[in-house]
Amino acid sequence: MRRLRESEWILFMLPASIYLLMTCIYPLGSALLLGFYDTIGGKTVFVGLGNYIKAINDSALPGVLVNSLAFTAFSVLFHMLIGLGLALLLNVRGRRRNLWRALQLIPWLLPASVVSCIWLLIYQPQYGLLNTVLSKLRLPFLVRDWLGDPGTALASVTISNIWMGYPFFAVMILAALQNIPSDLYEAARIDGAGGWGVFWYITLPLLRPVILTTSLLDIIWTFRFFDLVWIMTKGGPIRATEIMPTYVYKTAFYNFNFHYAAALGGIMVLIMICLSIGYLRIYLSE
Amino acid sequence: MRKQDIWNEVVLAALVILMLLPILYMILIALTPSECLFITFIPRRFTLRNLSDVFSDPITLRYYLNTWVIAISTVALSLALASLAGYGLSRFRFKIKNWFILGALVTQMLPMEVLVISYFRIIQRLGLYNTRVALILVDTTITVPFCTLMLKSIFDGIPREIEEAAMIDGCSKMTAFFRITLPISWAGLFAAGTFAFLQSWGEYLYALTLTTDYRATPMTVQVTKMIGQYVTSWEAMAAMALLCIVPVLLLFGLTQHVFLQGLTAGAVKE
Repeated sequence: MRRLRESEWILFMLPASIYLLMTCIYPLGSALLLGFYDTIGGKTVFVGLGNYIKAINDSALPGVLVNSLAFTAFSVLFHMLIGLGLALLLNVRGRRRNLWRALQLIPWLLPASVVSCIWLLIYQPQYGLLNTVLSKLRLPFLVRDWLGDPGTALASVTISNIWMGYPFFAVMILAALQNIPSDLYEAARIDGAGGWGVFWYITLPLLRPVILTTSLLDIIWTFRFFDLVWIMTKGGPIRATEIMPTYVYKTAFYNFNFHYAAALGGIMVLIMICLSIGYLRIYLSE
Repeated sequence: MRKQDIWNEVVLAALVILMLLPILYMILIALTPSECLFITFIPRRFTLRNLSDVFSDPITLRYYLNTWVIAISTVALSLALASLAGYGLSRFRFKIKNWFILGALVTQMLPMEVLVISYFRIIQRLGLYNTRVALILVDTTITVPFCTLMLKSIFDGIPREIEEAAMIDGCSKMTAFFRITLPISWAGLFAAGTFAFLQSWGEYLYALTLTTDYRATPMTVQVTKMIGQYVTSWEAMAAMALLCIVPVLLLFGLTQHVFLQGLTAGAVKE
């Protein structure tokens, strides 16, 4: 490599860096700063950790965090399981494999608002697909207002999120599967391993890195995912589906309490920093 | 094919088709005349009326146009920024390079609900509230980091020798990049462009917060406002949703091979 003009990298990095500095880092910083102020008597006053202390005493917050945790944990778990299953099915030589691989990705490509509309149609209480099928199957006792019933709302929303997220796992795991050299399988078979043995002792350990990184990335994405819950339930009925993103949004744009919303956002950032450090350590060490 | 492979494909096909049924359900509703709605799964009569209604109303058409303008502009701006940065990360060795990669990874993980609080205030101060420009600017923030990493891994796969030959003839790196590397990596640009298009086409939170009416609101936000406005007109909602997914499916159909390659390359370390 020529050492000459090596500083030219600055020209290449500058536009994107300045752009993200202005549209990402600065807004993030100013939002977080907002969390340390409050409006008292029409004036903006520095209150230190006041908003964070308010958050600790906020009786709604524990429930919101539990909902967020359940929404994220079940979404990611089933994304991973369904994605892994599909990837294993896709990892077989066949002429149509590329077709199935592309078709299965479709739910992941759709705009979240369209996915919400589709599932609102399915869960619609009077003539939605789900209730219609249940009454046709002579299971009328299962028929209910899936999104309006506090007992089923969060599970229903989580199922629609599972539906739109698993394909990403499938393509990522499939890509990793195709990198496993086939002689490893042969060697295991010669040593007498059956189908399950090969999967358990060869495939799964080799997939560990991709499953870990994709799961962590998905945890981060799901934890901050606002669209689906907002469109389908707005966090209701009675906070049954209230998650951190919708709670922050409501605080900011329904109650117009930007300072408290920013502090709640600061808590989200803290949680996500912890998750990101985990992700980056794995990403950079693999 | 072995017997096991056939079973494998049958199970796979059944699973994939089952998972696509919800989309089919919505498409069928979009094509059902309102008097036949919710009577049978496959409607007795089909109609294009719901779709043509969207196009005959200038306001509704404007929502659709907004989505297109925002998505295409975001693709152009993202590719311009990300191809330069991706090339910089791929071809140069400098001390703080890892910090840039770290930055690109971290900016993908920030909670948008926090950013949107700032965006709301800044965009209003700039007088860009309820404009498409505002959405193009904030959507590009989402797409640039991932596109940069995706294009980096694509440039990594292009041999340096090609550029070095040109540089011996006196080209600068910048010229070599525009004249040689960029044209031969068109497939990678398509992949990154598809990603940026899908992201900005489907973006919801910023569009919901930074726009109020037909002048800037994209169809993907407007479609959700159909719910319970008066009495939900499900067939009209489904028709709008169908128009929102047609470009997505067409674009993916065209670029799926390079897109899938770029997607896994950008997210898994090579």
